[in-house]
Amino acid sequence: MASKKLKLYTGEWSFYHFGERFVPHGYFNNIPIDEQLAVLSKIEGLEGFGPIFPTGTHTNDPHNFIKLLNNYNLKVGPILVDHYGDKKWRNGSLSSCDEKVRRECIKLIKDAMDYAAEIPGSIVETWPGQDGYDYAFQTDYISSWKYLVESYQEICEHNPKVKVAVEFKRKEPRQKIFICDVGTMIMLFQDVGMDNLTGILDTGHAFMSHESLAEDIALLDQYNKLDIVHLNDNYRDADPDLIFGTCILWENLEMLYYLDKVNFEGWHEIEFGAPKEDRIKSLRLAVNMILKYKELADRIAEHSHEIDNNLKRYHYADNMNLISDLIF
Amino acid sequence: MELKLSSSIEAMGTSPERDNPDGYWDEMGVDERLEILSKIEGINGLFTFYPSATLPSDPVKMLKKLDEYNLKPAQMYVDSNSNRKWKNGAFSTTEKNIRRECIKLYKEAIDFAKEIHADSVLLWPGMDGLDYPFMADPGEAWKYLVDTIREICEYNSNVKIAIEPKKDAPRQRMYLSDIGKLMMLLNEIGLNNAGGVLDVGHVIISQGGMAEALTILHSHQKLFAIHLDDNYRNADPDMIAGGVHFWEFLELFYYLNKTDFNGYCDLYLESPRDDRVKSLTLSARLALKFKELADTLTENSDEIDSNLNNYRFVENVELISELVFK
Amino acid sequence: MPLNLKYAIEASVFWPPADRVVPEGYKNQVNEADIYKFVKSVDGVDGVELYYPYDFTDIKEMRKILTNEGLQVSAVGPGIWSDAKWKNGSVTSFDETIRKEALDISKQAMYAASELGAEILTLWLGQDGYDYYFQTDYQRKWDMVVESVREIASVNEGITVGIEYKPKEPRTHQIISNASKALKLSIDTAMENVGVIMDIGHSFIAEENPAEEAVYLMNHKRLAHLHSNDNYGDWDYDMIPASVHFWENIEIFYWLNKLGYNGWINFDICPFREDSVKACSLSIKHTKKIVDFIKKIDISAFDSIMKENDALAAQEYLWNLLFK
Repeated sequence: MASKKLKLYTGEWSFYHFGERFVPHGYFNNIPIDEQLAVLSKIEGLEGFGPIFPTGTHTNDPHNFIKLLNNYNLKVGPILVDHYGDKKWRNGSLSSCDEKVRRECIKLIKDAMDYAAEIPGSIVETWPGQDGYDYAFQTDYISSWKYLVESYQEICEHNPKVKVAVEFKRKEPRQKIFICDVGTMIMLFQDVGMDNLTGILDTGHAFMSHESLAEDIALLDQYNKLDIVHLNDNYRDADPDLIFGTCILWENLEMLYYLDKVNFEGWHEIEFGAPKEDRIKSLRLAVNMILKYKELADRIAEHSHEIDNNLKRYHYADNMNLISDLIF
Repeated sequence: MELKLSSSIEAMGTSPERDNPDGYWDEMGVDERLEILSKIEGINGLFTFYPSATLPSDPVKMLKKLDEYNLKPAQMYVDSNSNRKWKNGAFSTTEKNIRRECIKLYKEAIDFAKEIHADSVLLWPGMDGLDYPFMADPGEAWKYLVDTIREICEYNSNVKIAIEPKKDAPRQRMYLSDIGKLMMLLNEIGLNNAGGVLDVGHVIISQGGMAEALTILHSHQKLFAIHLDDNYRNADPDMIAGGVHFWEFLELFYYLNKTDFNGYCDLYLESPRDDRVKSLTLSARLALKFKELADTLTENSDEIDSNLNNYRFVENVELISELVFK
Repeated sequence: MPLNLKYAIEASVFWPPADRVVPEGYKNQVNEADIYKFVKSVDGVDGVELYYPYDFTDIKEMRKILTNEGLQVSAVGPGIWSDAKWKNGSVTSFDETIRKEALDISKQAMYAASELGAEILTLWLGQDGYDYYFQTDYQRKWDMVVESVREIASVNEGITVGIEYKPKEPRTHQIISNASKALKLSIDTAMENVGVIMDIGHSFIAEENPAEEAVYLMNHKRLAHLHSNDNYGDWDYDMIPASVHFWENIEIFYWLNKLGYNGWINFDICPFREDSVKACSLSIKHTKKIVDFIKKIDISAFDSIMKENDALAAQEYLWNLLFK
């Protein structure tokens, strides 16, 4: 099987100041968008740039945005809706018991869908990160879940031709986020019942939920709900968005093997937090790491018949011997 | 909502563990254990096993035994875990003969459960999972898991099958790891008699919220059984519910009061070092106490719910603290 | 000697609480001039915990404000984390200029503590750690911490340098990550005026039982100070105390009472969504309630229970005493 090229993209978050609780103003200064795009256009393997709606730069007109990216030979990646990064969302966005807040969020995402509709093949990304809770006796779960499902239904009905993707995460900024893991996300898909609602697999979020990436891919693929993969790494306890592949080897390798197995052809997003290291070097390293892992996964995939047989027969030691000989 | 508590003869077991397979207590006879259970205040249900080396394997004799000790049949656990033949999984294994054997076992168990009027049949796919990356094909495993469980549930639509998720142990990762995956499975199967077990200890280990999990299951009409136990969020030692967590249990019972749940809350307990009888007695007492405290909150639910809907957390905790603490 | 506590909160409770997702903060900016009025309005507060230079630079001015509001100072800490320059470490930075600056600020904070009537320096080395494997020389970092703490402690032997441990955040791994390491560090300095600050929330993240660690620290006479807050054991969310870990908080106060802790508790909480004054007042109220409850416990009865390792009797005793 010929190896598919990975469709890699990133966004303004790679050039972020990486502000956090203890250093809210961040570790870096802003870089103008043209400079960002110029850097990206020179990194081999990167072909897309995903805008943040509506707070990103130059995102007011989709056609102008396409033109801008064309100048740098870049495609428009998925459109990330910012319905989490402002204090008005602090008690929730799509699940908020405050109807005004909910309606504002629904309108925002519908606007993003209208924007996306002007860009062929575009997907709108949502991450309900503020939708959750911290304490017992803080939130009405019954109402919140009802609103979450209804909000997504309304959003998807706005334009069934535009895909809306959901990203799960266990926690941060809330102690518990409602859409916390792959199972809950698929339950959401089933309850909403709309074809254009789809899924994002963030590898770091999956690790934080102690999930198997391969299993997550298999499940999302079975439901035909895997459209975007976010690539980053961590120590399974938090989401520092470390550079892909720097912490966990085997599961990341298995993930790429599996993505190929299910013929995934969607976008792979590069995501990293680089508060201490040079941003551009970090970005280059992230791309290199992904391509290196892909190369190893391709080598393994050439023996997929034997590997899959070992999987079927639970011959783990044989499998690891084979794989180790191939990669080390 | 009436709180129905159950427990099993295993709560009076020897508590074997990995580092001490012979356990910490002497073996007790079945009748002695049943006698103890029947006398603990609050417990009126018996959690049973199929197959069982100690309880009657004849349904008529089983019914008589239950009657003798004035215990009602609560959940019936089907053992598709504690034999090495299940080591690669019972429901999800690629080995067709093992899957068929599992289905056969469950069909027999369902017949038995029907005869003894068990509240539900407990299905816990404990061996179905992974230990290593590159060990098994999870896509294929899930297809088998769903199909096998569906066939079991279809066998008798009048018998409830309560399916229990757990994050890990004995496998490093279970396929059916949490409430989300459970609901995904139940939605996929789409049968009224297929439902879920809310094991609150398992919810804690998967970093979930127990009251939230309860509302998810209940709103889908899938709350069939509850297991009450506790832990430190990093393992499943089946401790006395309330011995570690407090606020979460209070909230659980508050939300439970909002439901029409009439299944059993099983006191799932391992007591390797503390007196078995006293542990179970305390476990029952704490469950009843949480219910009592929650009832007080329920009397003030207008104000509490208003605080929830308006995100007035501090006010809510102050009100609740006044209501529950001396 | 029975438990004797004074309660403090941090002035920073009233800054807009920020996180990675909303770095601008979840609340509006408060007038700086009003911050200490807000502190004083918290029910039950005795004092404030300050950081130099984040909360103040002019010691005389700060003293005036505190006198006006009738607030004591629980501790002063050097602010050596909240700027990009500290990204590779403060006192363990391999850049000598940065390291010297961190030490200078710490020594200034020692001086400020003395001038403001505080007996503790809160030394939290949040940026001193690492993020990736193969990134740093661990032993070199450790040796630098020991040397730095000695240098700071030498400034004034009347002020206790409290090492506040924490496993992670902002680094993925902080060098002084748990109670044992903090205790070892304080012993390694061979100085009497070096101790450990236990932040109860940090202790949970380090997978400790804070009651147990407090016993060891107190028996080594190295428990310098306490910070109180809560979390789910995986991240330092700085929640209201005892809102998650209920029994653990009761147990720690049991031992603090038995071993006679006499000092401050600083409520290092971050009310992202709750009103700050209310959240702080609730924190103190809950803590006072726990202390009242602890003092009702018959210590000799409990000693007998512990001699028997009788967990069940302990539970029954506590439930009967605590709940309506």
